[in-house]
Amino acid sequence: MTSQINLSKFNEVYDKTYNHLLKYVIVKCHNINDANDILQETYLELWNILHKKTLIDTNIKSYLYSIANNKIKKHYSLIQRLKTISIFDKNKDDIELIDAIADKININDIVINNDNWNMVWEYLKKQKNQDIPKIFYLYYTLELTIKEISKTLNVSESYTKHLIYRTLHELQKKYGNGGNSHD
Amino acid sequence: MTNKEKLKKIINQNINKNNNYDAIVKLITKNKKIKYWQYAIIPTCLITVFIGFILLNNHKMYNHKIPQDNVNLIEGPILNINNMDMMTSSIDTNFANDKDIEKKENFYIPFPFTREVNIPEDLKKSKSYIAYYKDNKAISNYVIEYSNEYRNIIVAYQKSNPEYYDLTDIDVKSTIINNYEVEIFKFSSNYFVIFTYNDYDFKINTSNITEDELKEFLVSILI
Repeated sequence: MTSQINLSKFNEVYDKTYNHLLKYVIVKCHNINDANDILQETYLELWNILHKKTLIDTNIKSYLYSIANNKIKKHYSLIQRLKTISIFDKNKDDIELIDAIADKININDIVINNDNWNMVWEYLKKQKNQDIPKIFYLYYTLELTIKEISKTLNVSESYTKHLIYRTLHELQKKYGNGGNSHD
Repeated sequence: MTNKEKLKKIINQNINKNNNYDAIVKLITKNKKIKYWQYAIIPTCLITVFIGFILLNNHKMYNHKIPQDNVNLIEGPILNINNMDMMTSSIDTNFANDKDIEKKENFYIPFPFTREVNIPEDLKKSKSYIAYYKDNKAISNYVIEYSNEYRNIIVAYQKSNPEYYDLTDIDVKSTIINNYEVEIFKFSSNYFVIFTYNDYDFKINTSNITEDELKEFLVSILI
């Protein structure tokens, strides 16, 4: 009986917090491939806590974020964390590049073969600069603006735009076939 | 479907809410099973091992019966006993009665045997002491006595020393017990036994102990 109550409570919490926690984990993790594992470990820990004590709703969210933080820290050694630092300059020094980037970047403008979209995401996830898949996730899945993405990742807008534009260009070269991108 | 929708679909398939939920539930179930093993099976195994260890050691320590196959440890059917009435003896059998020797009881002495020894039932009572020279306090012997009013076994021993006893001038028959050479002497109702075992030289003096009882005692030491 207790187990059922706990599961029902857990399900309720999971539904309410999943999207927020996922965004948090993706932004904070060092490699987007680890996001699923970290997320699962976080909710498993929450389950163990719900078993032992009663949490009020206002506590649960902050509990979740602190658990996620700990899981992320444990997941990566210091060396791993140092490795994922991008060599690309995130500062505003690249002012010339900003002028070259169009304000409106449209993925629909690039032409990619239908069969290749799985490989597109795999390609993005494997990038050494893990800001790339994060930005793509935030931009195309959560549909955040460039400004919102920049604020979330604590980077400049020009940096965000540049990564999107440059990556789309690479995707076009690698997977495009010159056909129409619309169905 | 636009390119944007296609990419969004692929990402949502890869980072999927339902798939993550299923994976979490699997982990919860797996952890419950592991806990069952931890809290039920492992303690049971530990307790079983512990009880087995105790029983095994108790069996070894308190089993006074000589296993049947140990009879073969003595070469020949009887002990080779040297009759001391017929020879002059330079062997000191009264190692604790010398006027230059003092005894000190309630003093720690090293137990020289590797297991419980087989002594006659009526001789369970024992005492132990150190016998040492008065003048220089040098230890003569450690002594353990098993005794009652009528008979006794006195075990005297010291750290192995080739000069402890020298029987080269006496024609002595030996008894071999489990590859240990033992010299046994008899005078009247007493036996006197000499051997080296476990880095100790032993001199054992008995009074009114039968030959069988002596044999059982010696075999239980020299296993």
